Amino acid sequence: MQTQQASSPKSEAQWIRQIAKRDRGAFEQLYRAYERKLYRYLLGIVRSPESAEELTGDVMIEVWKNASRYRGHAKPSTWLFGIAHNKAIDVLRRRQPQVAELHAVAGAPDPRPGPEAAAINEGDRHEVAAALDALSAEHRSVLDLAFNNGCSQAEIAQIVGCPINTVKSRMFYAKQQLRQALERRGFRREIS
Amino acid sequence: MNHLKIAELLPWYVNGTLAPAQREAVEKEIETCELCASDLETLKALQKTMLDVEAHAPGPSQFLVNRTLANIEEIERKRETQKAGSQWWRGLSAGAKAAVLVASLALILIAGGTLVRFTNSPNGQMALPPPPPVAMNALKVPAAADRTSASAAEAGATNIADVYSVQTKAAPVSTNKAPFQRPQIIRTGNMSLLVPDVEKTIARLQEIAQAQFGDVLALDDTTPSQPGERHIATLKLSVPQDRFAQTMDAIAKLGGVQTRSVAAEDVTNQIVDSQARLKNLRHTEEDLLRIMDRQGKVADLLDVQNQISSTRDEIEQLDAQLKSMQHRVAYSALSISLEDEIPAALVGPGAGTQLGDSWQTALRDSKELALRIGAGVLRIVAFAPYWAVPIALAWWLVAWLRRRPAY
Repeated sequence: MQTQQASSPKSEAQWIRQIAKRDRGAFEQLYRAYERKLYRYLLGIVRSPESAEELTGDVMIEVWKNASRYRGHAKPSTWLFGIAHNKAIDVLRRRQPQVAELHAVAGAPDPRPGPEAAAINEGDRHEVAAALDALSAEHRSVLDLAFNNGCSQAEIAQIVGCPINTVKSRMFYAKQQLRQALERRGFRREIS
Repeated sequence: MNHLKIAELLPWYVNGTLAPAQREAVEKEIETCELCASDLETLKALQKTMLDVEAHAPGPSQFLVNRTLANIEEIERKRETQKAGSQWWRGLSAGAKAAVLVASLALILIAGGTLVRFTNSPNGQMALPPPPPVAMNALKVPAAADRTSASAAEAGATNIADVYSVQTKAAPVSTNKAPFQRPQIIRTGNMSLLVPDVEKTIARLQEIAQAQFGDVLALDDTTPSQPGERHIATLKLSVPQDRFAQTMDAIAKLGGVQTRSVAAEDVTNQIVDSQARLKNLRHTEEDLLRIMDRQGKVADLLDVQNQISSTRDEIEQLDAQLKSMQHRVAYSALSISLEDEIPAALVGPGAGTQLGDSWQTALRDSKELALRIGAGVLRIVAFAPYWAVPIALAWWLVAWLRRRPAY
């Protein structure tokens, strides 16, 4: 599925209501709108294309089975990413009981523009992608949800199942880890 | 709000999801705070690059949608079966339901009584039915639980605590490989059928392939040119692996099955090996690219560039092989041969056809006779000089002899 349809939360909510009535056309529309987004989000967490692909299918099957439970209190994207996040975390738990420590990165915030800015200014996509891959699953998911999927703090908190303050601290540490990953990858030039 | 509180909000100011009051606070802060303004620029650039990375990153396999839709059809089929199963209960009257419940309760009580009797028996043992037969492969490869029990026995565990401690040590062996280690099997099938009408069966096969989320890959249809020949066609279908058996069954209903065979090839090890090799090659390529970024002699750089090029070739070749293998696992190939039940010669023409044929033959023969007669007349006329002169001479001689006086 290469193409994605432009859709609004309202039309997506309508599709989910139709899916609850076993409407395969609505399911296919929702699938087309979210397949790539969910796959990329899951890939960022589980780091295996095969697992991410299998999980994407599982998420959409979950949507088919449980569409009638969607009450419309959250945006459809929040509901879908919430299912995806839970499934991905389950896989990580089964695969590796020791989930990466959240507080591995310490130190006070450094407000100066870091090497990530330098890398971005150079447009070095490859380096940034590799630095993003070096982030822990929790930090990567917060960055993905905020910047790739336009989620608010409250929506991210709902998706990953934690308080808003935790989302803020994860964002802070994600930025700091990204900075360190870029430094490890050789971006040691002088920062003004 | 202080500087740190504002700094926390910046990522969501960048993605445009802040409440109006928070947005105003951020805008005020960045007008006066140089650090916040600089951080904001960094975050904007980060978002832009992340979106750029996403736009260029590969998506899932194009076959995922078909697999998911096929799974959903399977779920629906099971749901329908369960629904039909529960309908018999709903169809019962209140009295019948009560009777079933009473009978079930009685059975439970009888079974409970039997259990108590056995438990209180002098030797305290209950005669158990013999264990069910175990498949050979189940004996060869014990399940995780069996392995832990076996290891517990080997370790000489005598009580539950010992067994538990051994099990907890052994458990991680099985948990790491949970959902993604199922065998990767390439399935192929062959079937030949005698059917009443090959044309209609081809159309029906196309419908079946589409219904099972597959497709017809090849069709070879040989229409008989001579009476007496049979209409023969061969088709190649590709269907999702989990629909393979259903498709075979659906096809078998189209006519008389002459031959039917299924083959399976386990390629799990090949796929795992290819994935590992691919991962290593990608790491090698990344390392080589990093070496390229360093400054050095031109000859060394050219050497590295050659190595990058050959590594990339290997990656692409291996990637293509892996994708092809995964596709063959995901989609099973089916070869179908179709043949008419009755050859054309055995079907006699109707009475109307026979009369029509006779009339046409008679017309053709009479026309041919008329032409031959006409041709004969023309030949006689054309050869007139040869036969008219002797006849005229003979006629004159006969007439002369008759006129001569008799002596």
